[in-house]
Amino acid sequence: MGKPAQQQENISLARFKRALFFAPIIFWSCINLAGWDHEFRVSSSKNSVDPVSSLRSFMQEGHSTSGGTGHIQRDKHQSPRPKPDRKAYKTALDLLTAYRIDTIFCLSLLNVSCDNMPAYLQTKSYDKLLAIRQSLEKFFKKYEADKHFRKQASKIKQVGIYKTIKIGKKKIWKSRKQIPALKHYANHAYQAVCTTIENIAQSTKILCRDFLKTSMGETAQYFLRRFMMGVSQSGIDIQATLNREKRNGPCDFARDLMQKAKTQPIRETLGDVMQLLSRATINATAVFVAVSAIAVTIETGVAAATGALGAIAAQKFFEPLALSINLDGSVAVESAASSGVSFWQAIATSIAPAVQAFTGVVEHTGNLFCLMENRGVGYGDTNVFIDDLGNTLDLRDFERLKKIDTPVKVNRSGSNVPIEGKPNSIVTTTGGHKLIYNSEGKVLYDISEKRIKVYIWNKSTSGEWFVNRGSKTKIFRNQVPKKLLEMLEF
Amino acid sequence: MDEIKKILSENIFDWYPSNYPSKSFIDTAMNHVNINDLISVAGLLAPEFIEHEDHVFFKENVKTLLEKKKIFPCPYGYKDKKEIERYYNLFHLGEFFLATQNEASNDTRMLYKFGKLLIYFWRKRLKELFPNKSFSFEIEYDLYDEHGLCLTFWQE
Repeated sequence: MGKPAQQQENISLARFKRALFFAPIIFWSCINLAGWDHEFRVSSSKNSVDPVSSLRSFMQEGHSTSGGTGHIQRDKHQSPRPKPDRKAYKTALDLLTAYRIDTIFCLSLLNVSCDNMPAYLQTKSYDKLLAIRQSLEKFFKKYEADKHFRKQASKIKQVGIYKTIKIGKKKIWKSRKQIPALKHYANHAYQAVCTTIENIAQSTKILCRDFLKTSMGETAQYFLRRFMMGVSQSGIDIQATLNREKRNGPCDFARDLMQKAKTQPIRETLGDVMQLLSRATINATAVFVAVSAIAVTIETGVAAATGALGAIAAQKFFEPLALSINLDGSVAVESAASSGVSFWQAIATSIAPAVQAFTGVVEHTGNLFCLMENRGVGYGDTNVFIDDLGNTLDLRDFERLKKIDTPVKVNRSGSNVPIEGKPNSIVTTTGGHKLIYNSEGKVLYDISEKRIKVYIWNKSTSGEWFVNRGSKTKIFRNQVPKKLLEMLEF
Repeated sequence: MDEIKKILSENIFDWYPSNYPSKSFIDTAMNHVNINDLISVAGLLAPEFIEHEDHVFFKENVKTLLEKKKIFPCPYGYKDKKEIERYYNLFHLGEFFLATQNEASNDTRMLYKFGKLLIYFWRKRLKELFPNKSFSFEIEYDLYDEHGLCLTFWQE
């Protein structure tokens, strides 16, 4: 009997200790609930403060007063709401502009609420998005580094950020810290940009993954890689080619393809497709239709287009299937009974007015894949990279090269780069660059961490070799794929 | 002494890998340079420069970028006019003689003279094309992403 009594005593002691521990917390909470603090209180419907509302509040009031969720209650003892501070607004805008953040973006930053920001940014081109992100990154670097700038920025109204503090397992207390409004807003914008980029990349990744599931296996992957290369290459040529030839290119292409598909195995047909894709006319047609489907998906975010892409690429080349594609308002429909040629004729007719619109989208798509590759969130394990000029690089081409350990001594003026070397080899120069020699032993690439220089070899009528120069020869400027750098041991 | 005479001093003949009987530039050109070589050199000394959005560029370097409208934004993130021009107008002196490299082209003194000559003629050409603008030139090692002796210019 004594043992249970002792246990009872221990339990009581434990309860007492617990009560002693929570007493000050409960007391403190009561004080706050009674409104004795001079801070704003946040409704209990949310534990953390929504930065969006904080910004919205700023926009409505013209200055920063506090964070909140829209359920903010002003304390009775608080002084009347201050008037909008236009000067602070203007100073923020001037500072952001002065520090090279895009003016249009500044305006949107200060006028569009954060919850609308992703949607707003999605309507802009991808280049713009990336430029904004770069600007913001610079802004933060500048902000951290430049004392004068920080001083100026801190003069702008402070904005309140609530911070949740955990006591025990519950979030029961929120404190507020002050940070300069400028940094706060720039941070929100930066997050919005990053989220947008991430969303687009993810949706495309899903799109591509679904495409790979369209029962085409290895062949589909191969096709997809080549297709992605074509996306960027053909983008700029589409308009020019169609204008120049003034004919329905897709019909010719489709007719040839359908004829071939009837008489030869699928893999051989694919081989032909690859060859045809390398010609500008074909690029401008075959790739175009598929790209349009991707572009539609990216632009609208409609997952349904995933099926359309798979259907176009997987079934269109091989078997008739009921399919409906909506391109920029023009609709081409193929029934099971209609022939391939008529389908392509319909496509050609329907896409004609949409060519202009899609040309830009195609470029963005190319940039997108380039971005995805560099971020390591690409479609599967592809080795194909595309730069902003549409140049492509297949890392599998580098796999068969033999690395030569002895470095090549290049003099200080860089004038004695050996233009010929061991066929299919990689050598390192004393300047730290990597020289790649082709199967004929001629230098093909000079790769540094910042760019790839291409040596374009030509042969004169007299049989003399010469190297082309000019702006075509620098590719992947400041965007050399990390995977390649790792492969080359930079 | 005027500028070009200073650059083209006959002492340069002492740097030539092979001795010529006459220390005369004209004699050397007459005997060793054929007409197509000479005309090509004239094209190099008076190349095409292009003005685009208030920037002046060495056209050979930006031809493709202009066609594809990819000059701006600069891939390295440069926003300053001077930096943009300085980057795009980069001319690698050392690599110029890649396919025709010999003992002379590996001589840094010769390459430096070559750079000074280009500056002399390009400055005149730029003055002719853009009389209201003035330009600064620079010869320096390892500019931007290049290894070796480089030349570049920008608007002052």
